[in-house]
Amino acid sequence: MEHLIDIKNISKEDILNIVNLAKEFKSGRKNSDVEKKTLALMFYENSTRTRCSFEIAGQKLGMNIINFDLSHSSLSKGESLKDTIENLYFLGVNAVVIRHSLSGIINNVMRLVKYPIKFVNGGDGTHAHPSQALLDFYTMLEKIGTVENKKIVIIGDVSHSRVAKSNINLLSKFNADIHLCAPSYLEFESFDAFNVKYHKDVKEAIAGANVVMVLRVQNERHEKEGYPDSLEYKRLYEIDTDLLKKYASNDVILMHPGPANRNIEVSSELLDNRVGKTILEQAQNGVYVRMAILNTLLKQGKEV
Amino acid sequence: MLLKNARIINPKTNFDKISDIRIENGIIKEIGVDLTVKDDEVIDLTGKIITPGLIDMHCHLREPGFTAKETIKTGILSAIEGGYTAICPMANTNPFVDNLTTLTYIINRAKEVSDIGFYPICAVTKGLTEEKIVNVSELLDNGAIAFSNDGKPVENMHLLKEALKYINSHNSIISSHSEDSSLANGGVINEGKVSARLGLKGIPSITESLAVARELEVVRAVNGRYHFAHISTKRSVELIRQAKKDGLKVTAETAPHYFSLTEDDIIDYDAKYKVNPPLRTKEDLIAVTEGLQDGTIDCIATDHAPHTVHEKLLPIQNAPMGIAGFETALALALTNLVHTGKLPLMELIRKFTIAPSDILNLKNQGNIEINNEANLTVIDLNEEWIVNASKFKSKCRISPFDGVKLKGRPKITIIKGKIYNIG
Repeated sequence: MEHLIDIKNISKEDILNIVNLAKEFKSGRKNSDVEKKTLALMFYENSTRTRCSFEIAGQKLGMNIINFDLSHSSLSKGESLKDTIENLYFLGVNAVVIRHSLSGIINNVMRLVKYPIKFVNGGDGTHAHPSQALLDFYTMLEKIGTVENKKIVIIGDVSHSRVAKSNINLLSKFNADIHLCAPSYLEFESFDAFNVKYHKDVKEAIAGANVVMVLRVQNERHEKEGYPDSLEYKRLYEIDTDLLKKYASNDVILMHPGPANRNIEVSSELLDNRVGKTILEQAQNGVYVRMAILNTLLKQGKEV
Repeated sequence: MLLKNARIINPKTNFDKISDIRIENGIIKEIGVDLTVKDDEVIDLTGKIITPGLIDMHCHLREPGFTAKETIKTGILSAIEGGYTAICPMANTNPFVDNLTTLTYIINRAKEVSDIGFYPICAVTKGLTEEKIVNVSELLDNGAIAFSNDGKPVENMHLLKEALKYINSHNSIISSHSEDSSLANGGVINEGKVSARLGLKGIPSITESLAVARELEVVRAVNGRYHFAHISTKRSVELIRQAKKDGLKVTAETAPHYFSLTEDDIIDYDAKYKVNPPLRTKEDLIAVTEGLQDGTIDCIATDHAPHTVHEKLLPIQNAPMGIAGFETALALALTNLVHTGKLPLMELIRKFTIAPSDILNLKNQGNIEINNEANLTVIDLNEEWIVNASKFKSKCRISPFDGVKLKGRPKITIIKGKIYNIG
């Protein structure tokens, strides 16, 4: 694994290696192969948990962290991102984590950058969020042992969700039984895009589910596109304790990439009870998974 | 000058025979087998094909206003390199070609470069807005050939109806960029499985066919003569096919990328594949090809839409739409339509020559005939070559076909008897 851009292009073996290494870190491994290497966090879009998670992961590995806050600067030209990254490389940066609102921008810039800096996709547009998918996978394995033939239901704004896409791409590799549930205006533009099952009705979708992954309702987008407001969404798709109890499997786990809109896509009560705690564990696992990602990508990299 | 031993293909008369052509003072003087050599310069074209000079009824030369992308000079040199003897530049320059001054300017610039047939297509409306029809007769009397807001649709149907009636009354046509902007809004590539996977905003296929359907109703209502530019979808082809069956006076063109590439070819968010209309599905490609086969689509135009390499390296969302077309158009058509057996050579050449000439009423273009200007293209049907965009005469040295192996290409462009060797 050279870079982490899109989970689609990462082998099962590499994924399992990351999971196993994350497990070691979680059980207390202190040994880092990437001490004193330098990581730049370039977040052109708001993010709390992903940025903090990478920062803490890097710190725990003994890395130097450069933290950009770029959420207010606009970047319209790929070549200027290229220039920034090439400069960072010559300043001694070994890897960059990029979060950006444009899908594919890392693919674009990678084609232009001539130097061997490592790229980690911290979430690009509506394309991919591979580290999130890896930490979700890690959490699922921890809770239910395997995803093979497990019913995993992703609910909400799937068409605009990089989390959903990366999860689908990862879970497909491990033969999970993937179901999507969304109103028509939030479904993928084409049912052929992914090999998954589609539902309009949330009860039908979560029947017997082992994992229910709730996505964030993106209110700003709904405003812009003229979709019905979030209360219309809530009426039909809000996940609460009763719904899970009644329809999902007994050992169902609830996941959410965060930040959650309480009482819109998921009830506040559910978030605060025992089931909802998985979401916090997801965030915690994120640190170990990102340690594993950074350690894996950078351990053979030469010092500049 | 005597062109000897070439296979002459002239679709207007369905002529396909090895013959000689004698050119004197830029005029075709004699066509026949074994013409006697007088004191002419002799060019032996054994094994080559001579066709009427290729005509491109849809291109963008970017001057005035965007000369970093292309100039009239580089555009014309690129067209000649592609085998073209006549071109029709679109009006979306800066200033727009919606007035006599700009029209005269571009015609004079073209004359400085060569004698290529230069037939500007002027804007339908002032400033390409939805407000006011241009001064049609004045522009036609000074070199305009047709009218189009290409790059943008005309979506005010009242304006379109009045413009069509008026332009038709002056024996000219509208070439339509059919697009519903509310559906196209902000889209990057075709809406479908690829856009969903890549997380790119899609341009639905009905963006085009909806506009085609709406415009066909206008054409029907006023019994107008109307041309559809760059047709890319199955439904558009079906709608135009039906309209022709119903007797409507409509014609249509497509561009080589719509029968050569699909959305599945878009790799790695590379903006060199970004074009409007977008690359569609396999199904659309097949329908476009069938439209070419049954005559629903009358001609092939390049929609040569150059941009700087810098712009095409931008993130795909920010990069402009357009593909350089002149220097690959004929070769793509020969490779993907003729050598695959989908279209006979005669029919293909028709779509590059007499068909656009008839649509636009061009004089001296598209037909090999005694006493006509010698506007001819010499073609090697079987030469295999690899596209090298860095060698384009166009300023746009980036192409989705860069590095692709093609079979067949133009070898010589002859404009009013003047020889331009290609390659």
